[in-house]
Amino acid sequence: MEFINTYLPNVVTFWDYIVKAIWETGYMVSLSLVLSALVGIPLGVLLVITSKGHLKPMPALYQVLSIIVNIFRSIPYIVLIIILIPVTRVLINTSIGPNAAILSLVVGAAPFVARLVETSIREVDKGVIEASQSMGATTWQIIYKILLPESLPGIISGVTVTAISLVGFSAMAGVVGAGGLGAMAYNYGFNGFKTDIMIVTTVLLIVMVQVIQMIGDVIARKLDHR
Amino acid sequence: MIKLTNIVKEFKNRFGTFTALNGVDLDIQKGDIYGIIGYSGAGKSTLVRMINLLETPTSGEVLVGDTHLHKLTARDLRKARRKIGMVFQHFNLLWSRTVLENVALPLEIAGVPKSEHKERVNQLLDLVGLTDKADMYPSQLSGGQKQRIGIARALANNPDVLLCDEATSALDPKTTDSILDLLKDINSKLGLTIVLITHEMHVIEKICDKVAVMESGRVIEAGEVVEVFSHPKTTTTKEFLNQVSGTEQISDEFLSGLGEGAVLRCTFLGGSAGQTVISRMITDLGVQVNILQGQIKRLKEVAFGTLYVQIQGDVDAEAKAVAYLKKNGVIVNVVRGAEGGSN
Ligand SMILES: Nc1ncnc2c1ncn2[C@@H]1O[C@H](COP(=O)(O)OP(=O)(O)OP(=O)(O)O)[C@@H](O)[C@H]1O
Ligand SMILES: [Mg+2]
Repeated sequence: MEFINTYLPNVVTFWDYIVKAIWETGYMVSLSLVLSALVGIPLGVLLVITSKGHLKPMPALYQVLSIIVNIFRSIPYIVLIIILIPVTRVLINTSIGPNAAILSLVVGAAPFVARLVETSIREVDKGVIEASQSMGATTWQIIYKILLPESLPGIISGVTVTAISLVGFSAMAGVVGAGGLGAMAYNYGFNGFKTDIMIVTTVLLIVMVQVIQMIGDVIARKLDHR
Repeated sequence: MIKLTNIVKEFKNRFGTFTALNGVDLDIQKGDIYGIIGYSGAGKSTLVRMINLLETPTSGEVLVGDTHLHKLTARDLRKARRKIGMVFQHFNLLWSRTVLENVALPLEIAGVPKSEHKERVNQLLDLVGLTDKADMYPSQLSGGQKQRIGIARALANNPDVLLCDEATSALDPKTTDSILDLLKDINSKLGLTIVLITHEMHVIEKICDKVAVMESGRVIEAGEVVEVFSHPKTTTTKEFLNQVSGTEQISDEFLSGLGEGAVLRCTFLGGSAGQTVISRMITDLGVQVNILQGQIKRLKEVAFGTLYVQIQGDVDAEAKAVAYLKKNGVIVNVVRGAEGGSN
């Protein structure tokens, strides 16, 4: 206690704020992760099956999707936040707070998820797809009985990587008004010259990343029977 | 049961057109174990994939049972495929599913009520002799066991036809034999028609009733196994026959160490049952025969192979023996003539 009071005085004073910031970051990361997965996974599946020589080749659609994904992946996140401020305002009537960051986080992360999912699904053995076709499976059955289960460990790893990126992105969003640990570090730590807060919030972000990675690895390993 | 008529398959790419199948006709009867043999690239896989339309013909007709597969809608084709099981060289099992779930996959796809899966899967695992492996994952099984699961899975919806694309090519000889025995067993138990692709004569010899020999996208010989291999017409067929009959030569050293008398190489190709011809010759002609080296194989009821024999005696004995053997359908080469010999 003595030690904490001496070396981390502001952390003690602002502890309640820090706890709130942890929750805000957790909220932003988990909600945007779920939404990114909901958008990104189907998009990844589409990117695979519409490509040449796959289940439903549709070259035009594939090209369009691929270009859109690339565009959103190449816009720097900080620019994405600024571009999306007006849209956010229309949607939820405000451009600050954790909810305001969700849209830009999802727009930034979903294309990333889509590409990672695409890569994982492409690794599914062609022979297995062929076997299911020989059994008379529909495209839909092939997707949810073969492609997704067989690439699940890869998808989980992809989602884990995305979650970690989202921790970083959400910290950046924090700087422009979304709250969370990033905002805490910037507003109190950097601008407010409270070095101890900057250090502690940074350590908390690192711990968060480690925990996410660990959970992701454990799940992926559990699911992998190769 | 299966009738392919004038099947042509062309693969187009940016460099041009490649004709993988060039006017293939195939007529497979119900209950047959029909082998298709050919070298790599002959078009065997392409041909067998025509039978469930995994590969669509550029032209020609595919008749399975009394359904023209190529005329079906996508929906009806999927339904028809449930009655055509397929087994693959690399098994193609889902590693994400247990053995039980793998075998149940075709049932799920066909919409069989979940409550019936377990019983059906257990029947199938019993048939292939792997009931104790139901809850394992494919990665925990050996190649032979994986193929048994592949076969169980292919049989799940009670198909009328089983297609096997190199089903044993990834397995060692002993495991190959056990899988072939299983296929034969299934064929007689379930009355299933089996189409089997291979590049190994051993597979044909062991279980097939009929055979088609393929080369560069064509069937060059086809018919009863015994018929085709007792009167091989093409070099390719003869080469495949050699796979099982052996072509070893007799060494010169061994020859020079032999006593007097002609040395003959007798090649049996079907028709003549080797050993009986030799023993009948011994009694009929009263000659002494030394069997030096050779290999006689049986393909169904037909013997074929090569024997090196030494005929004791002079030129006369040699001539009589050669004539006798030739009359009985044996191909004779004189390796070394008798003393004062004719050649
Ligand atoms: N999708 C394809 N596109 C282009 N060419 C193809 C395609 N599939 C097969 N071929 C060609 O058709 C020919 C026959 O192929 P196929 O796979 O039927 O041979 P195979 O007799 O089964 O040989 P293997 O014993 O090696 O399996 C080969 O020359 C192959 O390159
Ligand atoms: Mg092949």
